[in-house]
Amino acid sequence: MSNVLFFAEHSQGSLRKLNGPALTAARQLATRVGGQLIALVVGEDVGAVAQAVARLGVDKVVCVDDAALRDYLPRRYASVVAEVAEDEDAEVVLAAVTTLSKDLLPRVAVRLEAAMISDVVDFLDEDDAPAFVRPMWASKLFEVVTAATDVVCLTVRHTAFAAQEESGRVAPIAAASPEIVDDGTTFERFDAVESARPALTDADVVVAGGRGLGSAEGFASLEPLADLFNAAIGATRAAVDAGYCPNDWQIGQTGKIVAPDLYFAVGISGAIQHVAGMKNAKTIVAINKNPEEPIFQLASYAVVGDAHKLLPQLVEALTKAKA
Amino acid sequence: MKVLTTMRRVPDLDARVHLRSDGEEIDYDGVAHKENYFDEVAVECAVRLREAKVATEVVAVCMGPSEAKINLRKALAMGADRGILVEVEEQDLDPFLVATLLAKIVAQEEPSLVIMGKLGVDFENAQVPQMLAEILGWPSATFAFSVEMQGDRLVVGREVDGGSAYFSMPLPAVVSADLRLNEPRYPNLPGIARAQAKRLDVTSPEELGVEEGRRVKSVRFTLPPERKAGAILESVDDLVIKLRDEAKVL
Repeated sequence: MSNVLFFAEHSQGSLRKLNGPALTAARQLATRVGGQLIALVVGEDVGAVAQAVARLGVDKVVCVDDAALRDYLPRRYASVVAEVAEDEDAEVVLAAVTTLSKDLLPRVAVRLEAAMISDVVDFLDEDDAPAFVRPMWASKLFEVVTAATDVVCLTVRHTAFAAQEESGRVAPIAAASPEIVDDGTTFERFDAVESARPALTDADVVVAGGRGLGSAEGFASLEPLADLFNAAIGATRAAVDAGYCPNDWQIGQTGKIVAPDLYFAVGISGAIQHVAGMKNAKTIVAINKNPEEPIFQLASYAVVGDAHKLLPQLVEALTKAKA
Repeated sequence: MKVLTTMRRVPDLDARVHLRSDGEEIDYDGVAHKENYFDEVAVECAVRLREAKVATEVVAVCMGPSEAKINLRKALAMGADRGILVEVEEQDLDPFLVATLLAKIVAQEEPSLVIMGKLGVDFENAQVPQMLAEILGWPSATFAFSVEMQGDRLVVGREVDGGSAYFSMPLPAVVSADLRLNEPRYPNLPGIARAQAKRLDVTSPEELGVEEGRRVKSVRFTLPPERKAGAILESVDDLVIKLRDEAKVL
């Protein structure tokens, strides 16, 4: 029997929302390999997280609850995940793409002598073997790959799958206590980016700004538009580099990948590093004073002009239209 | 302490991508190549540690074809002391194979710190630093925006979802560099001149005792469908009408 082990990521005591779509991918794979879908929850005091994931259509939840796992430490977590994967006969170990899973799974793959495939957006069959589709080269290209090993570790992009709904069923939860391998690394502190807005990866609407906004104050002029939609605010790498906003807001090849229903690109040229992170948005609106910028090749709708003039006009017109 | 850093040769992302043999391979003919930006950040970090007298020697490693010597020379021009080219033909080395080769170099060189780019901008796997650390049994800190020695421990600030996280670890360790770590210097003329005289060793997977160890097989490449450009509108009022009546997002 070969199973699929899903690493369920949580934050501040709750299951992260992007687990939903990733679980859909996990279920597809479990059906394909003909095994069980087992969710793994790792941390300290994570009983509530285990109960939440137990309702998301999995066959079983394994919970490793230990004070030594309170904070994410790469080697400790990798040793735990790899041992549970072996105990549960996992042929596939997967997680949604996050900064944590990107760090963790390559280590797990080494421990399991498994293939590691990042950023998967689709599954195919290639001569009866599962093949995986992943974007590369700032999403100008897709690569189709297969594993040369029996076991495979995957990170999957939550933007490519629909969310798994709660099922009526509650899966059984089993505790496990694998060996925790330590390497002397300690967690010092976490400085959170405080924001009352939804997370970029969860938001239905994203308002993003680029270097064209000119300053941190100019960047802040995105706020009223974001307020209208309860949108998340995003940024280009150039805007982050210029210090207009925190790095956590960066969208693109080296930042977050988003696929909202509506995306406002304000003062954004459309460099491919940025486009890689937002090209799958359903409706893209560009506001930029230079009609020659590449963002206009991508936008569903575009308005040419100075963002500082157009943004207040747009907020006013939208407020009327929504009233 | 000795610091090992990496410099990869990558295609220019702005180049137009062509495929050949029904998508089995990427056609690199006529595509300009340059240094992987995140490796430049890593090299800059290593050179600054050298300038601050924290590091005593900086060794830059590159895996690539013979042409990649140019890119490795750039690391030397930035201030690395010497270079090692592991000559391989392919552009798309399997990340595990790269990590295995790097582990062999680490065994020879015995650095206290390996600092490398967080990803290659072409294949975007972002796997090698973590794999290398796990193969070696070393601590690692990926996506670093700050690197600092505090006593005999390395303190690294990491870019993580939702903010910044700080970790402390003993050496030896592996660090992967993210954007905000620094702004890589442009080599100056004396630096470029000095780089020509610096030692650059060439080795091969065979010499390092590594045979084919691929765990991921590339089957083919495909191009995504082009997205059709939309309408340029005269005013924000027109935009609101389109958003309401056509896109139906209001």
